[in-house]
Amino acid sequence: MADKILIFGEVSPNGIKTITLECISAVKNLYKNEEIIVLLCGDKLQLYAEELLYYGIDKVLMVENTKLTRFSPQTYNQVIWHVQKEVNPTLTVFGHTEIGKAVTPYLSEKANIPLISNIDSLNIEGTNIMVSRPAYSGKLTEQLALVKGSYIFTVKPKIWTPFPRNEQATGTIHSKNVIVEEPIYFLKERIKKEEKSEGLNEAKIIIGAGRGVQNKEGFSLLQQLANTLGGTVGVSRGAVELGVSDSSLQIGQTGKIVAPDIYIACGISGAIQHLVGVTSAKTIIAINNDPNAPIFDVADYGLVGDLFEIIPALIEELKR
Amino acid sequence: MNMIVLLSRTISPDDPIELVNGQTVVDPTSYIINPPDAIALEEAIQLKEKYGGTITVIMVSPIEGEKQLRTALAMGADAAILLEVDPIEEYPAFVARKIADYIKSVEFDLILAGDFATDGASSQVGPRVATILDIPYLTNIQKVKKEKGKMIVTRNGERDIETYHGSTPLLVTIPQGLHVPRLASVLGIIQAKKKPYKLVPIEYNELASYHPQQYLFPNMQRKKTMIQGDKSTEITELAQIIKKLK
Repeated sequence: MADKILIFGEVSPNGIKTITLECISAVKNLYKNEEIIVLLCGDKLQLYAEELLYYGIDKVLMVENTKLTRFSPQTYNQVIWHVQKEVNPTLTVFGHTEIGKAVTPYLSEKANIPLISNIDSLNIEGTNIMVSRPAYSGKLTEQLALVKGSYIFTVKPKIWTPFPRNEQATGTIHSKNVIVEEPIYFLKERIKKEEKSEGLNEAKIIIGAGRGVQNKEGFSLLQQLANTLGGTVGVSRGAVELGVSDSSLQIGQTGKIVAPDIYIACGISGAIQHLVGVTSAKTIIAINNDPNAPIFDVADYGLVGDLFEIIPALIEELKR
Repeated sequence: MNMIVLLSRTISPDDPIELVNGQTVVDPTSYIINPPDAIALEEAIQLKEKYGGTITVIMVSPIEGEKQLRTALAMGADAAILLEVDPIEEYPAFVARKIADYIKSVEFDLILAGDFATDGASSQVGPRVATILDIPYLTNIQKVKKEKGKMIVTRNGERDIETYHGSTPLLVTIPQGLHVPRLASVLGIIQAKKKPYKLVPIEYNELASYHPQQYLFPNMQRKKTMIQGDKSTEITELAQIIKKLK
């Protein structure tokens, strides 16, 4: 019987999350003979499951339960551990997302299978699985040689490109019943967050605002530039500390990982903790008044100067 | 509320790193409390100020980790435990098992941990400790309250701010940016010298199936073309570049 690879699938009201398609891409070229199974947990999953069959996987395992409508490690842990035992995969793959980060340590501990988190490359060399992952805030890449065996991986977002949707659906959907015990901590109240950051994930153009924006006026200039270009604004930690934006728009190690076609870093010095969030950008343009700012070393195009002078003129020029 | 804060030490993210033969060379003076853990400690200190109780900090590290534990005591922790190992690759599973083994004999209501370490960044130790101790855990916590003996915990969920109710014991992980950790006062530093400090030697007995082979500097090379000229030429050129890329 073929070895199995279990991928944890994440969905949102907008559909299957890109990270799940990225997880499929990460393993599919490498593991040609293995059966690729995607696990979906939640409530009313049929449409998502049907959609997943257009991405070249072998099976969708669907665990539907009203107790799983919202993510909590307490409930999801039960299901994931149950499925892991039953499927006994050689490889279990999650996105390095809030869910992936929260549940994989539990699974690794219960199943006694090593967990390698936030991988950004995956290859097979002889009998070894070679993976790498960012370490030391992204200043270094850690390379690991794994002896053949079972592993759990979480996959860094925006590294692998999703395969295009197939014309034909293939594979099968299996519905599975798992008894979910009531958690000790129960959800009493929830307040919807402003979904300002929704756009960052899919944006083709992102304007990055750093400490150099100085104030609300500076920040609003960048919003105007974003509007002109049909893009959106993200921020560095410096801008959050400055108080011009809350952390929901933050890009970097403690924020979002983005992969726009164009990233325009404005008044961003280029701290590594921020840069790790934009390494997948196709082109990086940096505007900063400090000619020695490290951002210029990792940019495709750089322009030294005052944002308050450059941005309004640039907007005019772009409108022409 | 009796609390345990899980600490690790790491080299300051602001300091440069040197590599020799693919291995990191660390300046020993560069070690600090892992920044997210320091924020977890700050949260614990604020909870203690509100509800009373004690804070015990615990760390798996070589003997030099005493320095970071003393800093934690000076900030406001009441007692410190160093689970001392020889310098080893600190596998998260190993660290978590040793911490959990020790904590089994300690009474506590709440365990706090930073949600990742800035060096290894595996985000594993906290949830692993909770798993071994068989207690619930919640990640990415914004606020912890206690009301009529009940725990009220607010977490920054993916789409909502979620508030959970439950009972102790519990483990929470604290995200970077929640607080700015306080600095140790001079009085704190003096007091820290008299606070209980326990050294417990432990053995490294993990059979790891993987080893870090080597570290590399990531390839961040890009074109590095500087746009130069008078201001208006520069801006016209930049606009051209953007239009072409779009």
